Formats: sequence, structure tokens, C-alpha cells
Amino acid sequence: MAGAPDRTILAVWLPYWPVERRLREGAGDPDRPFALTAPRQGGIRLTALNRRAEDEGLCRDQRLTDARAMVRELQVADADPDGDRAALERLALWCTRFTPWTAVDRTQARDGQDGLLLDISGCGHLFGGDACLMRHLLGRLASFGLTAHAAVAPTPGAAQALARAGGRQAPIVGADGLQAALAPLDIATLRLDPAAVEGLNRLGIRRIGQLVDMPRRPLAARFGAATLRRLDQALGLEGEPISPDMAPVAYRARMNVAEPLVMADHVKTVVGRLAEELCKRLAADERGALALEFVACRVDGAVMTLRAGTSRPASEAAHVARLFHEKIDRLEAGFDSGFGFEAFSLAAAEVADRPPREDRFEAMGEAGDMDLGHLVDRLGNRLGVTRVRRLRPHQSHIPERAVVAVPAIRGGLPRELVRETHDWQEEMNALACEGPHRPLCLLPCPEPIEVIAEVPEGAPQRFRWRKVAYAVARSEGPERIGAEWWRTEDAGRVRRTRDYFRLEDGDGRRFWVYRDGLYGRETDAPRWYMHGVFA
Amino acid sequence: MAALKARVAAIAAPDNPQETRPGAAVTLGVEAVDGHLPDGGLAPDGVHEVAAEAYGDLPSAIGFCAGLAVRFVNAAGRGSVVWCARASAAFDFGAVYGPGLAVFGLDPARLLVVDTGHARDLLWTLEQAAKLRGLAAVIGDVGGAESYDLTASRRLQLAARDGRVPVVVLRGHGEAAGGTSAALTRWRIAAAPAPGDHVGAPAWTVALERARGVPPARWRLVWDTASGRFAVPERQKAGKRSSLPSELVAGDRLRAAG
Repeated sequence: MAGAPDRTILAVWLPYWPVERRLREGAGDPDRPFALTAPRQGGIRLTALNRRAEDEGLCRDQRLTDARAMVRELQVADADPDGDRAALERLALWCTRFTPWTAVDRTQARDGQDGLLLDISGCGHLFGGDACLMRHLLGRLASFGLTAHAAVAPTPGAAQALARAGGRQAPIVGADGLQAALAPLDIATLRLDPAAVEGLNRLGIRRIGQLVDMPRRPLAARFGAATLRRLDQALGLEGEPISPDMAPVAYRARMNVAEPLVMADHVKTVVGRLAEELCKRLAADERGALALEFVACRVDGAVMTLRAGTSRPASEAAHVARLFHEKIDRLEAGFDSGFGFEAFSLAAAEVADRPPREDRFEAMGEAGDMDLGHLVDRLGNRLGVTRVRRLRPHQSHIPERAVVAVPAIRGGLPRELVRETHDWQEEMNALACEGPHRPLCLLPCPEPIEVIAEVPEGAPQRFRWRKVAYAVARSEGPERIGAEWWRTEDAGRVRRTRDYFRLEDGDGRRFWVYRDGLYGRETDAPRWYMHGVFA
Repeated sequence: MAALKARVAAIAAPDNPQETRPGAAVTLGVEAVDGHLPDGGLAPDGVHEVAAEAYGDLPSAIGFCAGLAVRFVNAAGRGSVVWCARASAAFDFGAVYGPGLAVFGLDPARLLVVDTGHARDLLWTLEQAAKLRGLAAVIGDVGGAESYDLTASRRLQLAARDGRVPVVVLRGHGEAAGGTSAALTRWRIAAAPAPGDHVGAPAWTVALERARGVPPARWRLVWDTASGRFAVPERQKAGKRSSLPSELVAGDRLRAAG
């Protein structure tokens, strides 16, 4: 107990979550018995019930046929555990309006134990105290139609145990009353293995108080180290961290409003205020944001998330606000505020140090460079990050691989996709002295053409491309480009040498075609392709 | 009277009283053409339209736009070039190729390539880019989009004047590319056989369809990579093909024999 940090954990238990989640989405009548079923050993069995069904005497794992016989008016639907999990994660995301440190409770071993864990250390005062926060949360969950039990304790294990114990225990427990509060609870609430629970019951141990009194080493030897660990975690002797679903970020600005906001313009105003606060803090630390996330929680439990990236660390509030304004504008019909948004948060998911002012100028622009960065951000966020690109040279002879188009916005992209700057100077020098031997436009994919050539190794005299016949007036070539034999990614594909020719027809249209494969040496019937056109 | 003119000018451009002088016109490098244009060149703060004669001349029109981009970049000395197109335009004749641009003399590192899905997004992008001071040029390939009409071109012209950025709009080919617009100059490009022994060098028949106050005219031009400007082709070798005068050619389109 001496080493445990001073935390306050709120655990929420939703005993009827799978069914109530479906009822909330309108799957049936909440006043009648409702059950979810899944095929299990021995037939179709019930996996989840609502309270009305339990009152009628049904229980989990009962066969559907028996249940139907007992309760004639039972409503039934298929179980959807993936959907349940996703919906629970969305509910946890909504609960971040109370504290960002929220997670779905994934430590339970059995069915019917869906719950949430919130670390509310230090958040209680925002809502008038821990008790008020808990009442507020339970009230909101009740308004969503969810049955919930909650408890507050210094450790997650204790909080979960108290929540599941029912209403008789005082739901808020401090560090000093922890052991006394836990003592009368059933050991089944400690998240132990069902086999261990059964073994302990056979020995006559039913309460946590009895478990604490037992000697530790035989306990671990008989029932496993996990049992002992769960007990220690509940008592606070061993730490148990909660990893929040929403990744913790260093820079976040939050705002809750008393009156829910419905109009898009009002939401934009809130974005502006949050952007000012966030950028003030970023600028004070000489940092800029590369990726930003805006989360708005609706009163009915849904959440709207918008993300934006920038090409350069940004800390100007007007620029950040404008990125999100344009995203909100673009939503148009997709902007569904339901009954209104009540809680907002703007976070900088990825930050980087801003270089000092003198280093921010690149070689190509001076005063306008900052504005070009802003333009790139706005274009990329509105049109899509991969639609705004820069061209980088790549060390390859194969023409289509000699250029890489790299998205101009770095933030939010995986590292492999963003290469370092490489200028074209050497390539330009090499290209300029040899004359125009690369076309201005390259087709996305080489297109097959039919060719009549005088000799198989020679240039075409007539060819047919996209069903149009062309007669060649002049030609130059071949330029031989060998396959890159060292590329292991191409193993399995046949690699052939290409002979490129530059052709000009009578009208002055110029083409870049190649023959795929050396006649005789690599293939007997080489194919011809059109790869690009010259200006 | 002069005082009244100054007051009107001040009202027309109230935000930058000291910058009411427009930038100097950008020359193409060919005396015959520059002498014919009003202001002695292309205005660096307006919209210029380029169209192709036929579908197969689209690459020539793209090449002409690239040449104009090089001229604007050299005149400005600094700045990036924004090249926008619809994503589907790449299936016509391909997307702009980096080494090909380098051969033209345009540093691909200066380029910002944007592709859009709708024509509406494309026009929005052109307008936002045109308002940005410090950009060397904006090239937009609108194809035959109907949304690029008189109103849109006027908006673009105002944005370009506001940002002092030259905008080149590539309007597609054929008759559809000839609609009314507020552009300062309008060009039509056709492919032409290149002089010299080197196959692949750019050569075009360039026709100025519309410019304020001057009659239409037509020239045969090539691109000179070394000096980064347009040039007239040298006289052809006699007998190989018919020799063409390199000055103004009025009348029908000439077709090189042989």
C-alpha cells in the first residue's frame, strides 16, 4: 500500500450491454424479454439476456428451444460480438468527455462482464467532486437506455470488484478503507480464472477477506501465480496501469459547453478558440503540430472525429483553424449533429520542433515559403493527402521508376512513404547535355502497339496505337535499358531488356516506344509498347 | 485630371498603394512574337489560355505550357510552380514526367503536382494557388470541363491579379476549347515536324487567337533548352523538306511535305 501511487479509478459495469446496445439501435421492444443467440455445443444457446428475460427465469447458456418453450413471447436476434466490441469502444470514446484516460475493460475472463475503466484522478473537481461525476455518468448512461453500475476506488481491480458487488457497498472508497471494503465481497468479482474460483469455493473460501488471510505461498502454488497477482492488484500491492484507448498526447485543448451546439458555424467558432489555445502552448515550447485531431462528442453518445495533417510543423492558430473549417465545409450533408455537440477536444497527435526562423527558408522560395506550406496543407487536407505531391528522383534506369511522387504533407503518414529531400541537379545536368531523350508525358502503364518494322532489330516504320495507324517519318534509337537483375522483388517475373525508339510521324507528333525483349536472345516474338509522348 | 486618375487607381487597389505598378511583361524569347504581343510579352499577373488544335496535339499544348512555365520561372527568379490536372487526364497521354521536364529546363523540384477528382475542386485549387503571392506560375489542365465558363475565368483572372501570379489554363482541344473567357491571351497549338537531326525536340505551330488590341497571328516555334526560351527553327536543308518562312504566316495551316 505504501508504494501505490495516488489514483482514483472509476469502473463501470454494463451487465446487459450486448442486448441493450441492440435495443438502442432499435432491434426490438425493451419492455419484452430479449435474448441473443449463437450456435454452441448442443444447439443454439442464449448468450445474452436483458433484465426482463432474466425475470422470466431464463439464464445464459440455456438452449433456445427450452427458452422458447418457457417464454412464448421471447424476442431473439443473432449475437454479434465484434459489433458489441466496436460499439463499446465508441462508448469509451464518448466517455473521454469526462477524462481522456478511458479504456474498455479487457481484463475480464467471462461473458457478460463488459465494462469501462476511467482514470479520474484530478478530474473530479471539474464536475463538482468524484461522487457528482459518477452520478452524472450513470445518469447519462441511463438516458442512453443502459443499465450501469459504477464504483470508485484507488485501483482498477478494486473498482471493478466493487462495481460488480451490487448496490449494497458504498461505491466510493478511499485508500484507507480499501481492504475493509473489499473483505465482504465474493471472490468471483476478482477476475480470477473460473477453475481457481471453483477450487477455492470447494475449500470453503468465498469472501475476499478469507482470501487475504490465507498464507500466500501455498495459495500461489495451489492456484497459480495469476490468482495472487489479481489479489495484489486489487489491494494496491501491485500496480496495474490502464492504457487508454485514446493515445495520450502532450498538447490538447478541451472545451465543454453548457448548451449543445447544432450549427456548423458554431462548431467552427469552437475550433477557432481551441486552435488559439493549442497554438499558444505549442508556440511557447517552440514546437509545431504535424498531425491534428479534433473530437466532438454528441449528447446522444456519438462522436465526430476529424483529422488534419500539415507539411511543416504548424503553430499558427488561423492556419490550423482554417484546415478544420474546410473539412467541416466539405462534410456538408455528412455533418450530422444530432441533438447537438457538448464536448470538444483538439489535440496535436504528432509534434516536431520548429526550426529557428532563419532555417525555414528553402532554396526555392523566400518570403512566400510559409504561405506555400499553408497552401499545401489546405490543398492536401481538402483534396486528400496523396493528391498533392512533389517529384523526387530515384536511382533507377527503368523510366517509370526514375521518379517517385511523394505526398507533400508529412504528418500522419508512415515513415516509409516519406523520403528525404533529394534535388534534381545532377539528373538535370546529365539530361541537359544529351538532348531531349525523355518524353514530357509518360503513360501510367505502357500500352501494347502493333508494329511493322523493316528488320526485327530496327525501328518501326508503321505502327497502330489505340486503333489509329501512324506512319513513321523519322526515328532515332535504340536506347537500350536493361532489366534490373538485382531487384529481388521482381523474382518470378520475367525481366527483359528494352530498346527505346523516338519516333516522329508526318504531322510532327512524337512518340516514345520500346521493344520488350531482344529478338532471338530473350524471346522469339518480342512485343512493342508505347510508353510516352514528347511535346 | 491626373489627380482624379490617381484617386480612382487608389480605390481600385486599396490594399497596396505602393504596388499599383504591374510587373513587367514576360517575353517568350522570339522577337517576332514579343513584338506582336501587347505589352511586349505575357502579363505576369493574369490568365493565359492554351488549347490544342486536335486531340493528338494535346502533348504539344502541354509542352507549350511547360515552356511558358520556364519563362515565368526565369523571369521571377524564384518560386514554385503548381501543376494541377484532373486525375483522369493522365489516361489521355500520360502524366507529366519528371525527367521530361528536366530536359525542358524546368527543375522538377519546383513543381507541386495536384490532381483532383472533380472539375469543381480543380477550379478551387487554381483560385487558391493564384491568390498566393510568391508563386512563379500556376498551370491548370481543365480539359473540356463545362464548369470553366466566363464567370469562372473572370474569378480566376481577379485572383491572379490579386496575387500577381501568372496562370496558364490548358483548355483541351478542338472547338469546345474556344468558348468566351476573360483570359488575357489565347493560344492554339498544333504539332509540327521538328527541324534538325535530333528526333524528339519540341516544335510547334503556335497561333495567337486572341489578345487585347492585336490581330491573330501564327508562327512556327521550337524550344531551345540551353537558353531556356522559344526560338524560330533554322532554315531547313533544301530538298529534304519545303522551306518555310519563319515570320508571320497567315492563312491556312501548312503541312510539311516529306
